[in-house]
Amino acid sequence: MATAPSSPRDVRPGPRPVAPAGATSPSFPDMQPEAISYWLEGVWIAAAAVVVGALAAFWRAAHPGQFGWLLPACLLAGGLLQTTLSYLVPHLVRSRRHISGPKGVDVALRRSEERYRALVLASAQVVWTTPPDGLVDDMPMWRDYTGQTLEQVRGWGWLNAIHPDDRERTAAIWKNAVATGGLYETEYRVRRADGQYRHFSIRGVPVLEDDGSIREWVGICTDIHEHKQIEDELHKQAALLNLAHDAILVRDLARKIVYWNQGAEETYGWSAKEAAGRAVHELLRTESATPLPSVEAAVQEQGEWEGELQHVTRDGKTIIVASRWSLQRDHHGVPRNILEINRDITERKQLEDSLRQRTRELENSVAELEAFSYSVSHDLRAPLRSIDGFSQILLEDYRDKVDAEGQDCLRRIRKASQNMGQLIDALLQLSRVMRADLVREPVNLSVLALSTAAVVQKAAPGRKVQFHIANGLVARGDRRLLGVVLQNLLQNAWKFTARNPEPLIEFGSTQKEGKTAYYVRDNGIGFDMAYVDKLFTPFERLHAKEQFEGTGIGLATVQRIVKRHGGRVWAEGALGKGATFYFSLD
Amino acid sequence: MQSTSILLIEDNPDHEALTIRALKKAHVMNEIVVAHDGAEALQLLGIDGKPEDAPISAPQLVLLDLKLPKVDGLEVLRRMRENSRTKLVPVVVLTSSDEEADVITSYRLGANSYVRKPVDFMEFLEATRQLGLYWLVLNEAPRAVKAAAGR
Repeated sequence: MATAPSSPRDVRPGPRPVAPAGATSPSFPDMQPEAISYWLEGVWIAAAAVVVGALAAFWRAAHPGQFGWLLPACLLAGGLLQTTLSYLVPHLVRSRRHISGPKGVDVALRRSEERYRALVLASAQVVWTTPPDGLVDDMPMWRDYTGQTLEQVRGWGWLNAIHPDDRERTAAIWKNAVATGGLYETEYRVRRADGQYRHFSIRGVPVLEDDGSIREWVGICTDIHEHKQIEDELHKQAALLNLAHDAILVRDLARKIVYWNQGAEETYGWSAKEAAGRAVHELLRTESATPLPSVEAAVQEQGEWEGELQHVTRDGKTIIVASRWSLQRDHHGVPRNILEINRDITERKQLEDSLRQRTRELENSVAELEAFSYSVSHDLRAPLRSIDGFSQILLEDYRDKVDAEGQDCLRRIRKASQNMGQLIDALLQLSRVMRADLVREPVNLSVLALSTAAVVQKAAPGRKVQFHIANGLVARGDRRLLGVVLQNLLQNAWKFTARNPEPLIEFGSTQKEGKTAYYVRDNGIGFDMAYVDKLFTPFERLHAKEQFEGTGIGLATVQRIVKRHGGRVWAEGALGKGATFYFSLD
Repeated sequence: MQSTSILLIEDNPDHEALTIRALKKAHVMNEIVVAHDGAEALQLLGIDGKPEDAPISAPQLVLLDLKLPKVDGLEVLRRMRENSRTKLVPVVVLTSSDEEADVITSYRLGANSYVRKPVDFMEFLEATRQLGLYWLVLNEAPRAVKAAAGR
């Protein structure tokens, strides 16, 4: 019986030897000894007949009339001898061939069988015939392939060599083909002799008699296992490609679409069937900043291209895609197709555009704000200088013509214009804090506090205030803005300790909620915690202006700066018991 | 042509009057020539037009406001520094603006000082006194400027 190859590879068509070495020559020389032996057989039989005939003639001549029974007896003996010899001689010949080496008929037969079987396995094709009723008599090649015996294959037995899942369907198709006399065409898995199931494609046709009745069925089973596996793999890959939301399409060098994934269907609206064979740029009405011929040339030259394209979808919507092209070559290296992966970025583009526009608007308003601030700084202060300057001139040059009350008026005018000047300056500082770039670097707050305290002290040399400033406090932040923070806090403390005979201002750090908090503490008039929220609101004042100078903007500025550093500012205090202002940075 | 004139470039007549008063109060005796906009300043300095017609091609000191009609103060400064006669003349920017950008640009273009005009006239008087003392008395100008001024 057929011995199946040990691995599926062995049945692949190829140049591998399928018969024992040295026996690959055509069959004629192998057949020669066989012809000779049959000829010898003939000679033996002829010689025996001649001998018996001669003996009979001799006996008749020697004993005429005496042995009338002899001729028939001799003929009988000759016949017996002939029969015996004809039986014996081939046996003799055959036994002689057994010892005559590999050139013997037996070997030749076996080789022929082996060759045939190898051919079945190598060609991966099984040819079969059945009677008109479809009930199998024998399928030798099938038996060789599957290892089924004649008994096993007969009738419907062959079905048992088919994968259980395919049996019912196959039986139905075969029954139907036999019943209608039509083409028999199907695929199923066949169990090879080694037990492996392999995919086969089957085709069978009825051979008709002259009267149109079916004489027999002939057909061929073809091993399509490898194709099937590749196909499955391709299906899997195609399924993966379909998972991608990107439009993936392949078009040949004539720009005809040959592949179109689900993403492409979703993006453009045409189904794969509708897109197949269409000219890609005509279908999608491709527009490109770089002329398409240069894009195609670039792909041919460099193997790939990346850029943005404009396409029009089936419903006439114009979309922008980020497109990546790559050249696909066949295994000879000849360019065959171009793979395009297109991602719809229309929305992103629109977002980018609106973002750009908003940024532009913001930049414009920042520029306007800057122009406004500049104008405030320059133009609003200019009249104040005139008011103050000419009031002073009146006070100096016309002192004798303006009485005491008039001079008091002039002094009030000067005071008001100076206050307004300060207010403008404070507002400017606040607006600068908002728009200044934040440059973070390590800043020694202790040093900064010391120099600020010196400036504050210098502005009012008459007052004696004790400063306690902790050493070595370093924070990361914008040096200039942190300077503004300390300046405002220290100035505040300075201002509100004016009535304390032993004013003390401290600067230090502490831990609050796991973060470093810096503080400025004073023993001034303090404030009512009920109004703590108002402290940081611009222009809000907790004290009458007559009592304490100030613009009402300083703490608002401090808060803005601290917030820009990602930190927090808060205050603790009580009326008459001083105040502490804390700030953390990031 | 005065050898030790001061060119005040100022468009606001109030400020012009106040500055001149402050200079007088600070006992600055130099002649004060006023240009009311940038274009006039460039002509007075002989940068635009014929140099020989310029009354003060090289003043001893220029007090320059930045926000000016026609040609702004920074442009005047730039043109002065490009011109060989006015290249070394001390320029004090005297302006209402304390915008960082203005300060930086002024120094970059070669300003010698930058003073922000205070609202308080008394402060302005003090600033002017110090400026006069420094630029007209203490400061040693390069010979080239002295020579040009003494022409």
